[in-house]
Amino acid sequence: MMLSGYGIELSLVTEDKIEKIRGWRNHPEIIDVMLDKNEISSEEQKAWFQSLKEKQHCLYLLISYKNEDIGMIYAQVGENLSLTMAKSISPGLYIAPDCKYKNSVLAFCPSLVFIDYLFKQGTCEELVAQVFEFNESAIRYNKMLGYQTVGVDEQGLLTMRLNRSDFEFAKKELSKILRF
Amino acid sequence: MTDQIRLKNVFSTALELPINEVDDELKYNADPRWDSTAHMILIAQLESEFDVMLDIDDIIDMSSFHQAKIILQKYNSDLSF
Repeated sequence: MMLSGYGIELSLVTEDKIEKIRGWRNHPEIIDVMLDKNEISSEEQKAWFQSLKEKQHCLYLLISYKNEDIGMIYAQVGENLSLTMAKSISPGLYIAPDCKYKNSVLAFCPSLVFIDYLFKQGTCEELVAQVFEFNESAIRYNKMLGYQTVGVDEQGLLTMRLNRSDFEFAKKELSKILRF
Repeated sequence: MTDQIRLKNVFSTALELPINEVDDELKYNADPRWDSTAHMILIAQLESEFDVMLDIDDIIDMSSFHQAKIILQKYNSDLSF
């Protein structure tokens, strides 16, 4: 599978990339904002990669720009569902901590491509993101994509939802700057 | 108002920074307030203030206050920073 647009490419993870991805995922900057704060071992990473082939409820894609790997974008639903049948999908993304583009407008490009795909690939009606209240950068980022905050739990975890029409409006606005 | 002040005002507004913190040392990946959303707002305001339409490579390359001056002068050589 390969998705592309806005200058970036999203491709399935290959085995030769999994240690690089593990390095990003275990970086303190990334762990700090993840719901699962466990460090991933090399063995766990291999097992995760092997399991991807059988899983219908999640999708992990490597983000690349000008042939440079710059991050990961992913989506998942409950294990008893498939992405194509789900009405609600939870996406996530991280840009490599050492990537020079991580705080640039380029960070919006993979989300624009991937969210578009998620809304078109099956029966998805909304995306649901969970973000820690302290992660102001991610909250602002999600709002730019059209997400709306619907609540916060006692642990400071914000729930944000995105429907297709709000996304289409946000995409149109962001595309005024992202003129690829 | 000088072009330098206009540029500083745009950076100050977009990045929500006091104007005295806008100088040639300001760059992304060094200031936590300069995130991807701030960068998006910054570009929109620069294009509006200086009446330019930047190429996407220049937008992505605009990674510091200093770099912004160089890039804007490419589009309008009358600008003086």
